[in-house]
Amino acid sequence: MKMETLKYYWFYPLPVVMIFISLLIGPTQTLNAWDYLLWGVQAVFGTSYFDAEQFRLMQNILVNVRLPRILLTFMVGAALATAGNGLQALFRNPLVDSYVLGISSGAAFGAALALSLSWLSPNLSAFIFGVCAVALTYLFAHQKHESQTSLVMVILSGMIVSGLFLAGLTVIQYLSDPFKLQAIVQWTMGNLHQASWQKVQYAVLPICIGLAGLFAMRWRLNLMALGAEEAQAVGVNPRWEQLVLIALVTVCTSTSVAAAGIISLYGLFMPHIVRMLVGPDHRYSIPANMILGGSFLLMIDNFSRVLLTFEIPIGIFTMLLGAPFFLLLMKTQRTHWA
Amino acid sequence: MKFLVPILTVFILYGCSSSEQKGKTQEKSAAHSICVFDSTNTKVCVDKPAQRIVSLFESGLDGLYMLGQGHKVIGIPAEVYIQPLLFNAYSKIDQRIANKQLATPSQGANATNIESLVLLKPELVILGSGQTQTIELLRQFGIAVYVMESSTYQQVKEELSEIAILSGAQKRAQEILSFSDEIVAEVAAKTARQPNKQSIYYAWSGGRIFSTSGRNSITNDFIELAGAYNIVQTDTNQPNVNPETLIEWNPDNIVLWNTNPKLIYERKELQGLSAVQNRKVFNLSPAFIYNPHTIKIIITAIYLNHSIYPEQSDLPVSALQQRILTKLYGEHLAQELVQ
Amino acid sequence: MIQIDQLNYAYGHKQVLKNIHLEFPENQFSVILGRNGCGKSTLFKLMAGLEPVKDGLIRYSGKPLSDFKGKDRAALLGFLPQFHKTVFPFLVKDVVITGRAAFSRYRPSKSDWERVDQALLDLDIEHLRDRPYTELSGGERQLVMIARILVQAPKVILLDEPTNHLDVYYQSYLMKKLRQLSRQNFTVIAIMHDPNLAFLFADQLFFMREHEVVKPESKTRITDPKFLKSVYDVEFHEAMIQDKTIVIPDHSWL
Repeated sequence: MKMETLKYYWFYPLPVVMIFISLLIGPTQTLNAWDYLLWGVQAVFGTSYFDAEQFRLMQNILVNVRLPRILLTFMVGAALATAGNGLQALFRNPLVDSYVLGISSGAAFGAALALSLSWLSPNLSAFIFGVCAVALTYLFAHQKHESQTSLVMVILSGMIVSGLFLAGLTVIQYLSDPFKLQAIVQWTMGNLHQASWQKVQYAVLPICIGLAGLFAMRWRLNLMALGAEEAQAVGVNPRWEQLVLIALVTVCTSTSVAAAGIISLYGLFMPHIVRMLVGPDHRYSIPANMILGGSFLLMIDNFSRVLLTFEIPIGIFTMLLGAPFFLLLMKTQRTHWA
Repeated sequence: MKFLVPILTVFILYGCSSSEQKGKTQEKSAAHSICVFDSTNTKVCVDKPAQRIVSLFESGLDGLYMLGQGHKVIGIPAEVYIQPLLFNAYSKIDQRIANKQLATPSQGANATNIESLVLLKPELVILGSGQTQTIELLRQFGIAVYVMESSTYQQVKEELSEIAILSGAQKRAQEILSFSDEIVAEVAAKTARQPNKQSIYYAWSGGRIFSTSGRNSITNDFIELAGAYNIVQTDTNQPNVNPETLIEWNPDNIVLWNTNPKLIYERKELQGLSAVQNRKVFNLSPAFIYNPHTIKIIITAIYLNHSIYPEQSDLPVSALQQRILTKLYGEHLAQELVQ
Repeated sequence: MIQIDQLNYAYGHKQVLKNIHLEFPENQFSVILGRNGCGKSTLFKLMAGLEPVKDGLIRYSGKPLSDFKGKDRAALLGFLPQFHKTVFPFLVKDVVITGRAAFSRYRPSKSDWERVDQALLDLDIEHLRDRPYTELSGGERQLVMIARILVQAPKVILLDEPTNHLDVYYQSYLMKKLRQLSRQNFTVIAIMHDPNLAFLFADQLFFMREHEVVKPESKTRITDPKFLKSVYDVEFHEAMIQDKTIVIPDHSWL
């Protein structure tokens, strides 16, 4: 394979490697990665390194504690990164992420409402309000006499909707007792450590649909990224494609937020990192965002699992680890921003 | 020259206001005879036992009822009306609350409506330590403000006796405290008979089973009072644990707050825990009778102690609870509160 | 080929086009000239379908533009807007291939790529094929956009002030290409304001002044200074170079 094309495909085996490594590491202090490797050998070949009870214990940890968390983390990372990439193409602005449409504020508000009133599960409530926020944003931005919905208007109304839901969130926090408040704050900062098979089941279908849709649209995103007028110039009506794109992004992001809380800025800098590695052509960057987005978040989560006995929300790590890495790439790569 | 007049005006106003307040408070403390030091280490004084008390700290309110001073309460925290568990309990204790007749000059833990509070003309206001600005403001008005924390067992006892002093119920407080010392001694004696001290893992309510409490919390206190030790060894107040860590620790018992133990038993990954296999998951419910920020912490202690170290000669736990509740609230309420 | 009848358009209360009546013949290079603000940009937008026609008719081969949908629309009309802003450094070939977006839904086919290579060859810009678009000069970018339209291969090509940001080399280069295209079975219509380039390269000339179409006395007297003064409010002098007439603005005040 030519070196040229290699740069687009070298990372494809990464998920398998990452998942394998992630299964081996964890916070238990009495067992380490080597032990789990031996467990694997025992599982396949039947050599007896561990007695039956220990074996079952390790299996329990691998299958019921680690695996769902790994899968959820990977899916959420892929969803956020790919959605961010799609939106950056739509808005032709590399400074947006999937939260610009108001999703994160709406979802946080929904979760807080559910946690303080206990009427729905916080995750479902978060999803519903996330979708509402996007619908509101689009409603506010739509102008009847314009044939196109101006994208600047969309961003502005996204800010307004965000502000509204944040105000609501603040009111709820203000009126809550300290324990509910803790629960709300912890939910909002990202809660991958509460991953379970149930959460994986709820998240897998919407995220797969969203990612499949974005994958199908990857060449159309090039056209969209050139501009609405440029699309019309070659006889394409961009309006339907924009709506479809926003719907796909909303599904991906809302599901992620519902499953894992708010992981700030991941959907912003991950597409950038990917773009620096494979270029702006979405035919390569969309699959790359899925693969690298998932793997990178998984790596960050592995860090947080191994480093500390007590869980710290992953949003903090994405900033602490992602920002310097991003900075490094920014300084060492030439970018061709016009 | 133009700025001199406004600046002078500002200074004069500032000078007037602060000196006025200082004068007032100095006057008052000279005349008062009943004083205590609250959790902020401030001297709180009343000239006679308070007859009109507003308590915006729920545990303090509870304490007043236990001391038999409930008829003096003229203001309660809003959460008593809002949270169903609290409302059910307090409705049984005080008819006025059942009829929603008592004022609530607060909106939640953070929002106190100062105007409504002052209009009630309280002689004593009991607040939690979080509302620093409200506390300052009320003190500037010359109102006696007693700040409670009740964050350790020791402090719970101290604060109970201090509000008793302020409301003139010292004798009753003595009764309660010596009773609770008895109970604690009983528990300790029982624990001494056990070969090994057991461990407890405490899980937060609302399904957040992987959130727990560290060594520096009231939870830790009731665990120790119950004759066990907290499996969490860090000082962090509310740490989150990875399920793997919990599996590794393998606590002897799991204690939940107002949560169905089913939540633990159903978890696939926790099936291997000895607490799950031996069915030693205990639920503190109805939560009202177990509130660890009040002297009812001894109920929690005795309930857990008898649950984790069951003995042939044991009285049923419910009987023990009734005994304590009767002492604190009277026989009639004691039965009602456990429903 | 394109017929415009009784076209009126207003932005709010401001009348921008008054009773426009024009006919653009097939396979010719037509140019619409006029001062800034005479309404030619609005005319362009209506012809390109960017704004809906409310009062009047624009017909392409006898049918209004709204009758053409999807692929038929793309096969009929392609246009070049005045300003391109790109944020992402796409490669030239990737920009050009988006011209096929109306025909290939999800991925470009092999024949699409062949068209791209052919278009780049036609415009003599094959050497730019793998360069980032954002690194190109104004003239090169313009040509890339034209290559895009070639790849789309519509019957009609509309251009809005295509020579505005180009240097002299690219100006004449582009005009030459446009004329060649009209000979290759395209109908090319451009909005411009420089009269000389139009006089030298265009087949058909149309003039607008103050929201209306104006016509010279006769076809042969297009370069008549009196007529041009009514269009541009500038005194001109005619000059003949070889077999073509050009006009230069009056400079007697120097």
